[in-house]
Amino acid sequence: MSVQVIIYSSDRIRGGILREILRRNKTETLLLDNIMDVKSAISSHKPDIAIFDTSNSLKNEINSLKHLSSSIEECFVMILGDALIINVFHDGNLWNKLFLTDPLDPEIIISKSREILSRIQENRATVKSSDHDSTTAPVIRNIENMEEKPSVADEDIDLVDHNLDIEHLESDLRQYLKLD
Amino acid sequence: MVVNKNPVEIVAVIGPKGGVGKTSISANLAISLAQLGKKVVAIDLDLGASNLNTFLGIRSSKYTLDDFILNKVGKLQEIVLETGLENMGFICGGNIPGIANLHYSKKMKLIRNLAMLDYDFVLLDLGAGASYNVVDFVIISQKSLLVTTPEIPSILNTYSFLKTLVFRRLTMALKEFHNQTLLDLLEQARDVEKNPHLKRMDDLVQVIQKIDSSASRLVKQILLGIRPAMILNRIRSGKDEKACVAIENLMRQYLGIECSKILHVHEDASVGHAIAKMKPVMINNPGSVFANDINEIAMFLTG
Ligand SMILES: Nc1ncnc2c1ncn2[C@@H]1O[C@H](COP(=O)(O)OP(=O)(O)OP(=O)(O)O)[C@@H](O)[C@H]1O
Ligand SMILES: [Mg+2]
Repeated sequence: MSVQVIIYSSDRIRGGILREILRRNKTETLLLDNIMDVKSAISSHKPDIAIFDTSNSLKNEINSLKHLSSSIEECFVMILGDALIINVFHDGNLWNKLFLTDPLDPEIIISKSREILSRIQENRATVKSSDHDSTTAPVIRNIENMEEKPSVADEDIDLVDHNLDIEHLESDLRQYLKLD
Repeated sequence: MVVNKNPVEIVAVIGPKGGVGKTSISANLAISLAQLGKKVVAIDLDLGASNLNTFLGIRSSKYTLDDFILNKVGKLQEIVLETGLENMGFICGGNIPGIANLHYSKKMKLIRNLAMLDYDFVLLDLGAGASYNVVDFVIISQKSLLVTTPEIPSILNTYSFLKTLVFRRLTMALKEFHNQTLLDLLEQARDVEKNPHLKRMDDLVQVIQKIDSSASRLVKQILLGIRPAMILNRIRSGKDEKACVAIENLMRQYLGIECSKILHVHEDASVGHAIAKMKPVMINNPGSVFANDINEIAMFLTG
């Protein structure tokens, strides 16, 4: 399975959590903690979504991320972080950007990712069936339009229920704390 | 002569992860206690990042902790500001950066002065982080309230903070035995990856017992005395409420300590509304869910 989501986070634990919750939802991810690698990973893996987690990032890292995010056109960019930091990203190209403010909410991140992925899939299917040249139809539509529409994929999958289940939470905690 | 003054109850409000609601809770809890007729002083110890005044709606401050730390005043009591609320005083945090950097002698002077304050409750808003200075203010407090949200990063931080607290407290106590083996053992037990055989507190206590049985008795006694109350803030669902059960299990097994109480504070838009108006929630919206939850915490503290 090819990489669908690239995650950048300078916070090892948060990055690990994001990767784990997406993995549990059968989404192939690549976790990076170096901004320099993100750009090349996007061109080589062609993911559908790049998630930038800005928490614990230094000022110069935020600036690089901002630069990078405005140059990305080939996939969606989901930016997570503090409301103040997110403001920094608010200029320029917004059509493929989604901003989620802290606290880190796995449920929202997963449902948003699934929404985006299922739309892209849908779009690919229509492009294929109508035998369009894949370069003509823009695969990505304005994220704002997607807000109200419920995603089909959300309903048949138990999203993160088990993640909040005590036993799972406890075993996650054990794992992160290396108590296993 | 001072007659029978009740000893002051120092309450530390801590949340090792930033932004979990320590200041919102301490500001409003102080007001709630004052409304219950208790004499309260709220102290902003989030040095360098202080903002408790904003949550209390206090715009200017004549004195700050800087005046005390830099010896401009002799006693902490002298920098207590009026809040306009009955029974309640406030000490504004200064601009001296970071409690972690507070010099040992200044810290001890502050600690001695806290105990001398003439109030029923001294509430400390300790700011994020788990530096030894933060831990030490928790150790000298009669009660500590650990604020966490149901998110994993916050829970992990809370656990790590408790681990630092437990091991610092045990190290302090075992130093008295002048036995390096005991101290080395504590050091090893902290690293669960390298020393998995010591990862459970029971395992550690047993090894200590083989070396010195009076030391192991003391360790057990100390562990019994560490009983923080946990405040789970920003609860949005029944599922969120369960987050504490997981951490309680880990605390019991690996740190050998129990929570004295788990308190719930719900997600409530009135917190944001109050901040926008620069008024405390207890004043701006006393009938709100948040205010109600805070009153429950005040009842818990007053017993
Ligand atoms: N129960 C709640 N419902 C809604 N919003 C809340 C709640 N508790 C806190 N908040 C919001 O969370 C934000 C952070 O709260 P607060 O400043 O009290 O956290 P803190 O732990 O003191 O942060 P810091 O670590 O920066 O000192 C504030 O904007 C506040 O409005
Ligand atoms: Mg604060």
